[in-house]
Amino acid sequence: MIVKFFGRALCFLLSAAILCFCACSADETEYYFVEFSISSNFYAGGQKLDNNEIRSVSAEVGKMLNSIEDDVSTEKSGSVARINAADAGEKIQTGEYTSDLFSLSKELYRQTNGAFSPALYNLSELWGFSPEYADRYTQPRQEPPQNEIDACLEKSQFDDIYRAESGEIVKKNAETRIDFGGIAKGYMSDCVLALLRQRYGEVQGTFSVMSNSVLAGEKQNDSAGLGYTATLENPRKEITGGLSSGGALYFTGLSDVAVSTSADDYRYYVYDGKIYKHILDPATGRPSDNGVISITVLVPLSVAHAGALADAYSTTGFCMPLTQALSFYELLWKEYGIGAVVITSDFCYYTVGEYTVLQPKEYAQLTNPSLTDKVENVFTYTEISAAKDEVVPCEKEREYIELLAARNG
Amino acid sequence: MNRDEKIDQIKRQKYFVWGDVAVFAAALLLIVFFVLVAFLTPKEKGDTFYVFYRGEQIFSALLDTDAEYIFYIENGEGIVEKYNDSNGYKSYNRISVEGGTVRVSGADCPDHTCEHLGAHSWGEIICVPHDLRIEIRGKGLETDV
Repeated sequence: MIVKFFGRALCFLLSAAILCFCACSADETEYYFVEFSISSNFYAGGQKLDNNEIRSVSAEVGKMLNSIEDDVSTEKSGSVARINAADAGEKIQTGEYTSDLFSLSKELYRQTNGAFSPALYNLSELWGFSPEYADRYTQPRQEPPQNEIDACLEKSQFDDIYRAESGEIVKKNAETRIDFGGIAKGYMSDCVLALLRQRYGEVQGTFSVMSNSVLAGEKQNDSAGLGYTATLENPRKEITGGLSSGGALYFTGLSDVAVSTSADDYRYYVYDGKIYKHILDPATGRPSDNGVISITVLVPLSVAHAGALADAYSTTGFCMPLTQALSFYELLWKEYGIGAVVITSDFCYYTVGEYTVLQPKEYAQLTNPSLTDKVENVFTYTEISAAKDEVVPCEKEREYIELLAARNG
Repeated sequence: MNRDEKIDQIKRQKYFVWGDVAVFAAALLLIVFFVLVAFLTPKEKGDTFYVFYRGEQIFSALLDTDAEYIFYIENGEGIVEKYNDSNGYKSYNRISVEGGTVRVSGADCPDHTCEHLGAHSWGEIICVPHDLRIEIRGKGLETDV
């Protein structure tokens, strides 16, 4: 009898667990790509937010990010999807977020002489970097034929999309499609900051929307006296030894700044000894090939749309010859106080602006001296004046490419 | 078959029919699976431990060398230093680092709960009476973002 009782109890528990699992799964019908994280040391008006408040504000931010994603993602049915499906001359009424991103992108397109363009969805699809290829981005493959690239380039002109006087978006070429992937997450970080300021007034703390971080205000309880610190992710961590191989360089003394990094270790494939990046050059219709492997951009929060600009500028430098990219960032520094760190495939790095950028050993010496001998400096500081447009990959870079090639078949 | 006959038939049935056995077996397998996952999957290992007093970090050291440290409170200030047997510490917790793990090996707090928490290679050890938190984490250099 006892055995039977326990048997039934077990069956009941199992059924309950299965039902619970099914109920949870049913809730997750809508998939959202964008992830958000906020520091547990987040302050508003000098007061630290408690865990309940952090949970509450995170939920509110999450809802807002989902609604932005609904509007601006190529994979949802919002404004961007409607623009992409529209015929030539058809007027498309867009949501607020898409409208903002469109205006910002037009401004950046003009400022960068076309090096930043969101009208590259067709090319992204051609090269196998659009979302439907998510399960096989790294699969080795031949380049598309040049005539297909040329044909795709013709329908990838941002000039073929404009805003009508009545405010709607109109395409001249029905086949042109846009994708705000190079700016949307930075824009989202601006929206999050606006929401936090609306809710609390001035805030102090850090949060991130994917690889776009905002370091708001001055760091509170700064016992080390270093201000905010940030890791510049190591795009070659897989061939880096020692502790903290994930960090290439370290920033200290940061405050009120948006930080964004673009690198070639995300959405890429290796073919015939070469890395094909997901960042496409609007001028050539081909993956960026200027020897740059990572760019981090720091935009002061005093600059309007700091997050969106950091995101967009971090991809722009991939689509210019190296010296031109560095000159472009120097101009941004002079005009807006925007800083940049550019890493190249000869394992050199260039810094623009007066931000403190430390090598791993220097940062260890400052924060945890016992780790100094256990971390590895990977990249070499190089003066901008020594930069050349032709970047020759170093021995370690070739080793990295061989590793990727072997792994991805 | 009327109601009484049906009840009588159910009463005469065996406790276990094949269907029951299959359900029990599935349940048992699931329990064994979860137990194995919980106890046999490798635990994350930290390489550094951090000592916090009243929420503020006051000390950190690597776990790669066995050592004895002492945390004590003096004039309202939390201090951590290498353990010295001859000093008469008050309001103290003795912190032992051994084989990459951290444990509180002695304390003069009233409940001694921290001592009973054992050795850890990841996570937290908390001494509520002394407002002490020992955090064991890893990956070397850390930043805000």
